[in-house]
Amino acid sequence: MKSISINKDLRQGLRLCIAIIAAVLIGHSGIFTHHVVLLSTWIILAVLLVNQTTAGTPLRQGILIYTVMLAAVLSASLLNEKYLALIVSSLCFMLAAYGAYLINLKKLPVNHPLFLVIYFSLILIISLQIMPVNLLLHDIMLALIIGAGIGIISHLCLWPDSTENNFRQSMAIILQGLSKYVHSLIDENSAKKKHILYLLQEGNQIETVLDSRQSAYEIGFNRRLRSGYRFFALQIGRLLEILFAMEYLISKDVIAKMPDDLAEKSFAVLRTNNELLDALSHYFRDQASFAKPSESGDDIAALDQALATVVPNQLALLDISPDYVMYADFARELKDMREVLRGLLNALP
Amino acid sequence: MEQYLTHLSLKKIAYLILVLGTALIVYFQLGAVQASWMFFSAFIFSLIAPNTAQLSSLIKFFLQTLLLILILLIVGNTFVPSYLQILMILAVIMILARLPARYSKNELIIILVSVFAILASMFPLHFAANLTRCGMMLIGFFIAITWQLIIFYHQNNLRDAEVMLVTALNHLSACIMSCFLEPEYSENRYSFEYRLYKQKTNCLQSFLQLEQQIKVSASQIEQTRFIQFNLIFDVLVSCAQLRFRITDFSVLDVCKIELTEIDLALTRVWRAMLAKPEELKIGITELKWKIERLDDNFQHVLQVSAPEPLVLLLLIVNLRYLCNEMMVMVDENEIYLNK
Repeated sequence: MKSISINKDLRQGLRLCIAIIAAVLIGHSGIFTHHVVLLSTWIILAVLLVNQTTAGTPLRQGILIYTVMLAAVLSASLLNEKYLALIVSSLCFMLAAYGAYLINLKKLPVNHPLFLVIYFSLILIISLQIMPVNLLLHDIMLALIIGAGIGIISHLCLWPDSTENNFRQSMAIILQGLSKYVHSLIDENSAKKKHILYLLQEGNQIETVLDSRQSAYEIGFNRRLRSGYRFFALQIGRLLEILFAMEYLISKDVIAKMPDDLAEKSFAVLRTNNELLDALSHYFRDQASFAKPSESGDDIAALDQALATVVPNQLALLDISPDYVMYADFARELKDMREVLRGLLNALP
Repeated sequence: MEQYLTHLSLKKIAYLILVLGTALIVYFQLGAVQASWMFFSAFIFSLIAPNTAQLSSLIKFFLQTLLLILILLIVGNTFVPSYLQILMILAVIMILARLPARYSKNELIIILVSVFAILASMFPLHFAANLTRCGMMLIGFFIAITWQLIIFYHQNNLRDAEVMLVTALNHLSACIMSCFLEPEYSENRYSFEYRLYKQKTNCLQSFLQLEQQIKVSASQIEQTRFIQFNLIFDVLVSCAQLRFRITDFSVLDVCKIELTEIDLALTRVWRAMLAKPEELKIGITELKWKIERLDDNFQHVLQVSAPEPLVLLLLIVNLRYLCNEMMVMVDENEIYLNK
């Protein structure tokens, strides 16, 4: 199944459809002697919710959702008074809605704990208002187990989300975005508004499109992969920070104020950095045709030399002109960027 | 704690209580078998409603609801054979599964629509009863949307987006300073970095929200303020570079008092930016003074004792840049208040 390459959303939809067909068939297979439709609905609901997991830790997330559903059904069975039931379910929904408002639900992946509160209130209100559970508690618990089992098995066996592929794709997207941004710095000399907004847009894409970065921090994530993923996530985060810092200096016309020689050397370093970024991005897009680039560090040495001719060597004298500190800061950002890129390239197999 | 008590969050609590109260009253007044669907939908819609009274958002929300009602009308009828219902549910799920990437990023809406569709198809009704069920859901929708219009009618979306951004920047700066001040940083690097990553993400998303609101208002002053906020974010992130550059974190113990004072002064500035703009200038002056104290320490102690004095100098310089950008913001603020 793994070899079939289909879009992530389509894969998710197909998986859910197959799981629901299995749920309907099992529900009607004679496993329940009475209230077949009602109990089949519980199986389907369990399948639907347990399938709402992300790559990385689907088993743990599935079990958590199942436990929450079970807790909601048990709570509903304990609330015999209609008024009490209404108030409890309303309060649960209020809590979920307020939490969703505070955290801004649109930003969150489906494995955020707030979703568990929402599922709890959803199941509670369904159990209380639409499908009362009091008479069939044992059967409903069995239906939930069956549904959760189908959901988890389908998630693990039918076109499972490859954590590695997700991570690779997310890295390729991020690195491509950063590379484009550095290109724009080289081409236009100074940062304009559109660059800042562009990078923000890119940032949003980075954080929301793929959740592999998030999963690297979750409990239950593959221990062998975790350290590597965290290393890459951390270094990519640092690269972004360096670019933001450089952007600030560029917006203060650091390059325009620089002596020509220093500006030229800075651009030379920036160009090499961009080549390394491109190489990294290429690796994550197409591992097969990747060749590790070599860089001697001569451009960095030339930058240091050019900086030494402009900026005083003694730290105390840097304060003479604010521009000196700015040049030193910019050169440091470029060197830091190179250090990060070297580290990332060396970490590749 | 302050984020739980802003006027916006209090508004949201009031909104939820009003929806809850109205839904309960209508539920008991109607007393119909299908009234549970009204109650259910009132809460679902209050959960996913946009926190705004902007016409475009409300129209979009209404259209989404109509689509949901249409789905329920089709799948919840007894005249549709059960195998066809299952097929329709599968088709709905397939379409919905494709939606998040193309249309809506809010996965909760997709999940809730699927839940509604499954419930309606598993409990099919005659056409009239099904129509009543959909009508009940529409009543629930109108309860949620009416209070939405009343509560959020006078809302200044631009100002709210700015408040969210300043709050996000406040959390980011606190997180950055904690990396310098907490001795556990070097041992628990990943947990600190994860927190920082979340705060940075929050800031970026707040920027995007503010940008959207500025596009709607098309105000030049707001545009300038937005760029200024961008610069403040850039400098903050630039200050954070110290944690990667420094090799011996014990050096920071030497200037722990000064850094703590800067952290407190920064928090005061953000708070002033949020609620007391008249105190902003005083806050920034105080911050400047604290930075000068750190500089004094640097000139007399750190410059000699630290193995990498340049990285500390760069931190001081970046903190000064931050102060300058904030001062520009004060001028912007005066224009903003006089507007």
